[in-house]
Amino acid sequence: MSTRSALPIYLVLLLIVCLLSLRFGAVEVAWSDVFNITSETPNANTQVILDYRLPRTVAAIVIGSYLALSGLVFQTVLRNPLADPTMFGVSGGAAFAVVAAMSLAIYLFPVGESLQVATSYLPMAVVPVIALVGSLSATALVFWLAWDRGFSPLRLVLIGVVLAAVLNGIVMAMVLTLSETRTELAILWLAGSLYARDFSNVLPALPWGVAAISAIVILSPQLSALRFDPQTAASMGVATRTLAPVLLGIAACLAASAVSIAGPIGFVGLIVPHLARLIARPTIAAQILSCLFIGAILVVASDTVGRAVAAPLEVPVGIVTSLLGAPVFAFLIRAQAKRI
Amino acid sequence: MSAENVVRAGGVPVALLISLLAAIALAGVGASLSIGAVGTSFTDALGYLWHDDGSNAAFSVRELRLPRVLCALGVGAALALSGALIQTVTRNPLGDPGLTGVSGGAAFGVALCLTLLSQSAGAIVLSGIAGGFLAATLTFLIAGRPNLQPSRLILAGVAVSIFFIAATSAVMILSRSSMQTLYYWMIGGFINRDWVEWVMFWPWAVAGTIAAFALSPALRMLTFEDSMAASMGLNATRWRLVAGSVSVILAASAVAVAGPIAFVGFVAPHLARLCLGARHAVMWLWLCVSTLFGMAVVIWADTIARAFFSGRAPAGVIITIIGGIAFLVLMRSARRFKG
Repeated sequence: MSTRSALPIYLVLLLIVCLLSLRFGAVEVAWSDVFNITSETPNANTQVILDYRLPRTVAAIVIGSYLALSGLVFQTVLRNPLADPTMFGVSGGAAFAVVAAMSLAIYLFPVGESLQVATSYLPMAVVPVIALVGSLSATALVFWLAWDRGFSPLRLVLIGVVLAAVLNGIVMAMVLTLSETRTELAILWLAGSLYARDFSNVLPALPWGVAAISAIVILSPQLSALRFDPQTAASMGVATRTLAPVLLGIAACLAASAVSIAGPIGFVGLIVPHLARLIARPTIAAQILSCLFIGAILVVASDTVGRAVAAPLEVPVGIVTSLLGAPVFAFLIRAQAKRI
Repeated sequence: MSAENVVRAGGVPVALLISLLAAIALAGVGASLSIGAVGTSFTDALGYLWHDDGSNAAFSVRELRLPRVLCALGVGAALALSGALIQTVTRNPLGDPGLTGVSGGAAFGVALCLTLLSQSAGAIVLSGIAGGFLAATLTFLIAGRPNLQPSRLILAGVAVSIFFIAATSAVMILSRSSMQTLYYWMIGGFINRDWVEWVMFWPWAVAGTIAAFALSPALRMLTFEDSMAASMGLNATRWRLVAGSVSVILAASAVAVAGPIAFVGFVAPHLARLCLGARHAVMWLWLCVSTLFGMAVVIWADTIARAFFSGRAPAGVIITIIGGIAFLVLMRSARRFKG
């Protein structure tokens, strides 16, 4: 599909899932409320939509596009169809760093039980920075552990998965021992949830993400060359040895800023690049654009499904994406098996 | 070399190793019985086991701590044996019920049974076992030829495991379990386990353990090439299925009690191999030492969880951290486990 014909389709789909996301949730509202949110006479329902659902939908769009593009860069640079930023210690490291900083803050400045929302233990602006440092360190650790005269695709992913489990364990231990509102923290930092996320969570992550996306777009010719083996890429004038780590670092930052908003939402970075490659033309520009849109659509849709399936109960968005993503992951492992 | 000669061959004497491990596990039992909200001395705690004087301390030791200790020991043994069987059957040194998806499938079966079908002990364990078999089948279908690459089988298992764990979480949320209950259960541990769980668990654990040890001659054959096993009159595929089924039953019954605890089944057989050296080829000996290691690891993890995290962090957290690090160290040091 050409980019020119795909763009309107993506926009229409995104608009549809966003409207659904504003319409469904714990509080029953009517379609008329959704379309009247900008009207002069606010009522209780339009307030719910404006104060709770709209920020949440925006957060879902941001997270989805960040994670999907990050996944595309990981898969392209590593030439590994199983790569997903949340599996390379990115989300585990981010969650670990943020929860450790929070535990420290709680320990140093005990604030009582008035602060209910998890990330408000720390100034919002520093959360993405801490997440960034944590995820870059964890990603470096995964690559160091997996290095064996090259990176075998399966070994790399397996080590990432196990490191994620260890970091999750440590996060769980910290959450359970140090915080009063521990259940909320656990849901957020272990499964990934958009519950109670608003603009104050999204805004600090925006500059980092926009910077990372711009860098990826600027580097897209080089990224395109990295799809080939190192010799071919070198013959196209691309310094693989310096560019590959730089691009992976940028992608890790992008994923970390997504994780700093709503915790580790798995498999978005795995599935979406595959979908984008199926749908979009095989140019890197078309794939980047498709990833941004499909990622946003997927996360908004998953969050809406999680909220609507048994309202007012809520299935965290990370669980919905895992249910969708794990079968795809299994299928990709199977495909990898056939190729060898 | 006959089995007896191997047993006598160098390294730590087997009798010493076994008694040392038994002592470590028993020390864990003693510590676990005496630590808690009602403080009791070590000797008092042991005394209450034989003599109930009606005091609060006696009640906590006999009715609260003893079943919990028994569950921890049994789960440790069951998971270690299950892991050893999986490692032998798949010839995969990374084998573990958690990492092959069996525990995740069992957790799903248990959660489904608890929320939809019935709360009866037999039904819970049986649906756990059904879930474990379903997950194991899926893992093998996804991995394809399992002997080629150790990492692929485990990644397939991880995919199956993530799916079933997410499905379990969804089932529990939709059945209005509190998030707290859910996360405590999903991470695995022994908080509030009492005689009900032990009564549900022990027949399966005992039967599975007896079966595992009875299978040890066949397991020994399975470590050889299939053609060699066939020349010695063994149908390798059939015995693989039998041993695999026993490992699923052991793991699923452990999950029904303690939730999906990973890495015990990976760590215990490796520690046993490390201590036994060449003697780990004597299958019953390896199984026996693995079992003791599993018991020691789980009872001490639970004791540490209660002593240092004031009972808030379940044992599964500590096991995941330590076991995961052990797994990464092995992956890093052993070049032969290339993916």
